[in-house]
Order: sequence, then C-alpha cells, then structure tokens
Amino acid sequence: MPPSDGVPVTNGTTQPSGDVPSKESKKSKPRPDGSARTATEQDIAEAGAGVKLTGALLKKQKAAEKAARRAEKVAEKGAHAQQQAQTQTQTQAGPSGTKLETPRRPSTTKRESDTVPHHRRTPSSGARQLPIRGAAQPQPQPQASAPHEKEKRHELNRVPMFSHLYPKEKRATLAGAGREIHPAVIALGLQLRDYVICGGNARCVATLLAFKMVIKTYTTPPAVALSRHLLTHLNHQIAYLRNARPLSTSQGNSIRWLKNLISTQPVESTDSEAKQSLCEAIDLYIRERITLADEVIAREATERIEDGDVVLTYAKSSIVEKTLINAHRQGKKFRVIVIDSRPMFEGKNHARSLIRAGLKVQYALLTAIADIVDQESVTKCFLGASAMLGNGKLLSRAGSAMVAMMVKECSRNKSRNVPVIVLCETVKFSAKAVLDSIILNELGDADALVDSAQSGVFSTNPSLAAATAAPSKGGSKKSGAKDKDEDDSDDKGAGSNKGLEEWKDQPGLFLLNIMYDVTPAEFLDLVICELGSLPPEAVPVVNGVHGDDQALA
Amino acid sequence: MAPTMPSLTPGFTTFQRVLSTESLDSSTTFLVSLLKRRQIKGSKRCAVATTLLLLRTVELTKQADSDRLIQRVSEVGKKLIEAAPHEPAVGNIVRRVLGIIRDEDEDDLVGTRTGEDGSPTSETGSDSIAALELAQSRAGSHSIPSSLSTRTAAKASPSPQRGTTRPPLMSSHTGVPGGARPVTSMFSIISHPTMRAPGVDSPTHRSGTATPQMTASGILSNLRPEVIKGIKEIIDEINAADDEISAAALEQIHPQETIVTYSSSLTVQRFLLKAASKRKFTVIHAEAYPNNHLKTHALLTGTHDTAEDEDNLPNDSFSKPLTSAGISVVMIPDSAVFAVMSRATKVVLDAHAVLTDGSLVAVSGSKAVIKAARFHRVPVLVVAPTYKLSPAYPYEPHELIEYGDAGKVLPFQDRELCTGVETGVRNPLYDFIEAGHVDLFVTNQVPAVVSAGYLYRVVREQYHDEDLQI
Repeated sequence: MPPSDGVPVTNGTTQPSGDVPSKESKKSKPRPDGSARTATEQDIAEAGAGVKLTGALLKKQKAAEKAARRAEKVAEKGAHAQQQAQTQTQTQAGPSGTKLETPRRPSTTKRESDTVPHHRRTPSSGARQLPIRGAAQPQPQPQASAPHEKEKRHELNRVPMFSHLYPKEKRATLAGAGREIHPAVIALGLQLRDYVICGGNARCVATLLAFKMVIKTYTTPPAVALSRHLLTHLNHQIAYLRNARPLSTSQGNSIRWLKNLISTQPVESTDSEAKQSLCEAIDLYIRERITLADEVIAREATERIEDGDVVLTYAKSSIVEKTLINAHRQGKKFRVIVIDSRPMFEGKNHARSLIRAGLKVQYALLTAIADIVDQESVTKCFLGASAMLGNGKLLSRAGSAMVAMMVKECSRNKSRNVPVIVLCETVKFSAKAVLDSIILNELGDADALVDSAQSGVFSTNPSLAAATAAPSKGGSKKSGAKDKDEDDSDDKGAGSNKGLEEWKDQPGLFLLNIMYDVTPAEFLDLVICELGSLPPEAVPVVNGVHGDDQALA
Repeated sequence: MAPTMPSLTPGFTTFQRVLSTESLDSSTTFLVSLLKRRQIKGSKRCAVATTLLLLRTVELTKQADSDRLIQRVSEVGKKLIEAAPHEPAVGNIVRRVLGIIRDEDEDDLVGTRTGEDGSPTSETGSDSIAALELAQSRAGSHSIPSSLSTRTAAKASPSPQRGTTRPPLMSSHTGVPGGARPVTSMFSIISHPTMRAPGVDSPTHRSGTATPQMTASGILSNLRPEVIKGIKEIIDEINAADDEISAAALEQIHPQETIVTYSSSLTVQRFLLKAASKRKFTVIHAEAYPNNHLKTHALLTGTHDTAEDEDNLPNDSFSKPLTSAGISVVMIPDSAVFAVMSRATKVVLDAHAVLTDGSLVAVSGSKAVIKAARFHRVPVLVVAPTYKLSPAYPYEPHELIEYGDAGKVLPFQDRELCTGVETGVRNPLYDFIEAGHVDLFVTNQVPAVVSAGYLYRVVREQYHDEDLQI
C-alpha cells in the first residue's frame, strides 16, 4: 500500500518511514522495536509454556531467542536495512495471493534473511504495520502524542487484578495480518475474535481445519526439511490466532498434537506424502477426538437421564445440547432448565435449539438461580467445559461455578444430592492446575456490558433510542413533579447509556467481563469423557492415558 | 385518584398529595392500591409512606385515648400489611407506631401515679373527653385496674367545652384542608356508634365520681402530641438511617481492601463513600442483571438523579459515584461473582428485610453472592436500617419472595423463546437467604454493629410483644 495512504492519519504512520532513515541519531528507534519484538516473542513463548510442556517450551524459547538475536543484528545493521525491509513489506503487502509465495522467496537468498521477514511478520509487527495498510485505524506510536494518550487512558481502564489478561498487542485485524498468514487462518481469526466461532469444540475443529488448509497449500522451500519449516510457518498462523483470541485448551492440545506430528514426519518423505499423511491425520483426529468422542459422551450421559428428571444446565455447550436432544429422541420424559447470564446470553441459543428439538425448556437468569433451585426440584445438573484442569477443577463459562455451587448448596439443605455432571472431551483435559479463576482466564470485551438497555427494544440504533428518551428526561426534570414510577424503559435506557457508555472517561471505573471461571472440584460429582465416567479428581489419570500433557516432553 | 398529576402513574408524590388533601379513609385506600400495584415499592419508600399515613391517622383520631389510637392504627396498619405482604417494612413501621403509643401510654400512667404530670393543654380538651368516654367504656370490658381508676377519675372537667371546641380542634391538625373535614367527621360519626355504644351511659356514671380532674385531663391530652412527635421521629430516623449506618463504615473497612457488593443500594453506597472519605480500597460491584442493573449502572456513574425518585426522600437524590471519592470500582456481570470472590476481603450487601433469626430477604441473586462468599470464607456484612428489621420468622420463606416482570428475562419480542418455554418464565425480585450466612449486621440503632446471634435481641427491642401479631 502506498505511504500516501498514511497521510490522513496524524503523524504516527508516515513518520517511521520518513524520519527513521533520515536521522542516524534515530538509530535507537529500531532498537526498541527489536526489543519489543523479542518481548512479544517471549511472551508468546511464555504463554505457550502453559499450553506446552517443557519440550515445546524450550524449542519456542530457543526460537524466540534466535529471533531476538537476529532482530538485534538486523537493527544494528542500521536503519538502512530497516527501511529496506519496510519498503519491501509495503510493496509486498497486498493481495493475499502473494502470501503463499512469501515464505519461499526470501529463502532463495540466505537463511538469515529468510527469517527476518518471518519474524517481522509476527502479529506484533503486523499490528505495527497497520496504519500503513489501513489508514482508518489510529495506531499508538511512541511519537504520536494523541494516540499515546488514548493508549494511556486505555491502560488506566484495565482492572489491576486482571492486568495480566489484557492483550499485549492490538487484537488481530484483517489488515494487521502478515503476508504469510493463510487466508483461512485470517478468516478464522476474525471469526474467533468476534465470537462467531465460539465454544471449545467448534474452535478446536475450525482451527484444525484451517491448519489443514494451510498444510495443503504449503510448499517446503528448498533445502529445508518440511518437519522444520512447516512448524515455523505454522507458528505464525498460531500466533495470529492467539492474537485474535487466546487459545482454548482444546485448541492448545490439538495444536500441540499437530506440531508433534509434523516434527516427527520422516525427513525422507516427499512434500506431497507428508502433506497427505498430515491431512489424513487431522481428519482422523477430528473424528476420533471430537466427533466420535461427542457421540460416546452423549450416549453415556443420556443413560444418566431418567424419566421425570429436571436437568439444569448453564449457558451453552454443544455436547450438553447433543446429550439432551439425544435423550429426548430416545423418548425420555424430562425437563430442562437453561440458566443464562449477561453479557453473551448463550443460553438463549441453547434454549432455542432445545425448543426446536421439542424439549420442555425453562429459561431463567443467573440471578434467579436461588429461586430455581429452591422451587424446582432439580435432579441433575449438566455442565459443559472449556477445560478440565489437572486438580479436578472445571474451567468453564463464567457463572458455571455459581450454578454448580447453588445446586450443591441448596440441595444439600434439603438433604438431597443433585449430581453435577461435567461433559468434557479428553481434548479439553489439561495438566494445568489452578486455584482460582484469575490466573487462567480470558477477558471479553468490556463494552459488551454497556448496551443492555436496548436488548428489549426493536431498534438497535442507540442514537435513536437516546433521541426519543432525551426529551422525556428533560421534561421530567423540568416538571420536577415527575413521579418515580413514571419513567419507563426508554428513560432508563437513556440513563444507562448516559451512564456506562462513557465509562472509559470516568477515572476509577472499570468494567470487567471475564469469560471463564473455575469451579472447585467439590461441586462436581462426575466427569463424563469418551473414556468413561470419572470423578473430577481423576483428570490426571486421563491425562496420563492420552499423554496430552507429555506430548512433546 | 389524582387528576391533577402530570405524571401518568401515581406514586409517592401523588400519595403525599392525596394524604394532605383527601380523607384518611381514601388516603388509606389509595396507599393500599399503590402498594398492591407496586407503585410504591422498596423498603424505605414503603416505610416512609406507612409512617406518613399512620401519622395522619393519629392526627385525625380525635378521641386520643391510647386504646383508641392503637385500635385505629392497627386497623389502618392491617390494611396496609395485607396489601403489601412482600414489604415487611410496612408491618415494621406499624409495629413501631403501636409501640410508641404503648410507650407513651405507659409513661403517662407512670406520670399520673406519681402525680407529676402538670401540662394539660386546653385546646385538646374535647378530644380527651371523647377519648375518656371511650376509655371508660373499654375499661369496663377490659379489666385494667390502674388505668380504669385514673381515667374514670378524669372525666368531668372538660365536659362543658364538648360541643363548642370540636370544630376548632380540627384546625389544629396541620395541613387539613376544609374540604376534607366533613368526610373525616362523617367517618368518625359513622365509626363511633359501635365503639361508643356501651359508653353512652358513661356520663351518668361519671357524674357520681368526684376526683382530681386536672391531672387526668393532662394525661389524655398529652398522649397524642407525644405520639405524633414519636412518629415524626420515626420519619427522621428513616431518613437519617443511611448516614447513621455509614458511621460504622470506618470501623469495618480498612485500606486496600477489596469489597464486593451487589445490586444498587444507596445505603451501601453511603456506607462505602463514608469509608472512602478516609481510606482507599477497591469495590467490585456486581450488577444484578434483569431488575437492578440499570440502577446499578446509574449509581456507578452518578447519574442516579434521572432514575426514579426522589424529590420526596430528600437524602436519596444525592448520590455521588464512588469513583469520585477516589475509589476504583470494578463492575462485573453477575456471572463473574464467584470468580472474583476469591480476591474479596469483605462483602457488603443491602437487604430488603432482615428477619429475627438473621435470615434475609434481599435482591435476587444475593443468595448466590452470599453462598459464594461463604465458600471463599469472605465475611458478609449486611446493612440493615431498623425499618428493615422484621420480627417475623420465616416459616414460609417463599411467601416473602416476589416475582417481577418476566419480560425482563425474556423480551416478549422473542417469540420463539417466549412461546416455546415451558411453565413460563419467572423473574424473582428477591431471594430468601436462610439464617447463619451473615457475619455482621450494621444497623442505625445503638449497637450499630450486631452479630447475627444477637440480632434477635435488637429486633425485639424495636417492638412491643403485643404487636408482634397484628
């Protein structure tokens, strides 16, 4: 994209290309750049350390260190090379069709120069390129004062306790994708980012399928082994996905499996052979670990539903849904209560699809859980999982812990035991063990908490609603004799809009939208996975059997 | 009911207007309908409305004998309580007022016995006569020796004024417009015969007795103003409750704490603000989604003035957001309560009502919050102004729970879900939380901070045993 496109943006965009080469004293500029890059590399490696075990970690770290060293070398070479690289990227950043060639092209020269564009293409650098590509997005650059301030304020709006969960870089965008990112991965990244593809299984399958596409279109550069180069190539894809949304345990597990598989590809096999076998393996993996696993779990869980049961479930889980529909198809007479909560309201979709399947469904919000548990004689509680942790705790959609706790506590008062059953494929089993919901979590968009006022209104245009509400509010203020009960949803909606929409400008006010919470093992009775039913404490056993945690060790 | 109101639905303001213009009977009916239609809701508002109505009742009850007052107040109170079984505050206030009457009565008795009472007011003389008659009649049936003797002793002196002073007496009731008077007197005329029937012949009995008169008339005339004063004190107490409660804040919150609170409550807000004046801490505020989240949002951003209220409950219109006091506030959805509870050091909640045994009725979702706090061993504080302390025991806890607009749970536009969902959608407004989950109650009474075990004592001190069942 021509740099002239960057002109509309105040300064940050055109300056790097113009200023940096002109002043030799600015040589320090590439240096922070390089260090920042290494930092992000290491961050990624660190983040990966959670997912992978020591082997993978070591590899990644080594790679990151190498990259850092190279980057420094490149930086020391001077701004000249930097500019060259930049112009190169500018010329190359264009149609996605060129992406497939890019990994090969630099490799024709030397291995060192090969890696430079690669590492420049990690999402961090990709994000830095953003203003050049898409002038619409203001980019926080150290030189640009206004965006810097904005960034600072953004920092202020971070909940200190959860600061480790905030994304270090800008979220993945279409424009921010490097050229070596496969279009399927870009599409998937955007879908993940916007929660179009949501849920552990869907994300896992979509990731694997996207990587299958990547592998299919991959060609090994000459003089490099597929098992080595494909991994680095894949790493960029993974980094992009991770930047779009932190990887789920299922994704992490399957990616680790895939990497392991790639690295153990025989060196002597040809590209096409290797690709063929990899694609087949991926298909098999999806079928075995997810599709068939779901079947098995659904069958097993269905057996646990009896006539007259009242099944409580929270939010949406594909496997819970499958189980319930399966049981219904078998002619079991039972009732389902779907508990839901802000801000995602996944339970609505769940309830809808259950209703479509012909089940008896009751819908309630999380605030009403005490009432539901007290008044309805709940007999079972099914929960989906994002991950089963090594210490038997359940990582699942935020609120699951509340549901499990209330079911347990309130039924205990009535000297009943309501089993809380977790349905979870072994892909989601993790060797990690955490004690609270804060370490291992993910932050959703805080602004999702703002706009609930329009939920019941047909017009989704907030300005319209505000416009209609504004006069009524003004009038009520003037009249002074306004009654407390008169204001209807319109007025309240306006009030809330006025309130929370500008929350970022109110110092000290944070909105926190965490995605998961950790349910203690004592609230869980049973974990049903494709290997059978286990107590939650037995999760490490499954890890041992499947070797997910030691895949690369 | 109120054609002059600019607003579409009547509410607290309307009630105040009606109270000052209409007769007691229609005011009562009006408040009953307001309560039934939930147009006055919330403990505080209900408490204030009840107090105002009872104040009026006392003002308009001319035969200001204690029994008569008690009877009238409990008549009105019963109607209100029946209208709002979900608002224990109404019953609490009725009991408080009855308690005040009984206290004053007792004080007067003590006063007469010792002969100290020497401030008779002549203008209320006719009242005292009527009350006297009643007292006599009742004294005949109930055998209360002491009061009987003193009251029979008192009868004679004001009798000459009876016919003349009644109309001016009416003017002593502040705020009673002329139009309302006939209705009131009609009411009293109608209501009197049954009560006075046995007392018709009382003058003949009285004429025979010859006893000191001044002191006795003093007793009777003193009772009502004292009661009115007492009731006004209740109103003041209700209005000052939040501030008094917040006085305990500094004893409870230390710097660098993380406080979890739930839903919108001005009492909690003031409590935290008070603590924030001296200390810096973090507040995690869960929003209570379907019913209170908008109010919570408004509370957090300080735009509370647009939401409902509050020209009538003057203190409530003022609400400064916590952030303005330098406190960092984290708003979370309800689902995240369990997740952040592990970092909380205290939970501060408001209650809708507190029952004798320490159980609570609170905004729906509170139970989950409290249970989560219990699980994480986080102490729970409940701020409970005295008007929320109810002497009831939770024999039927689910009767205390009220249900609200189901459309807030599932918007009615969502046809597929609305028609598809079995057994309807429920939106409970309150949770019942059984006793034993709250570590500390903070009230505006003398032992400001009460442990759950001692709560019954505090509740008991509020009311007279006779009034526990109304």
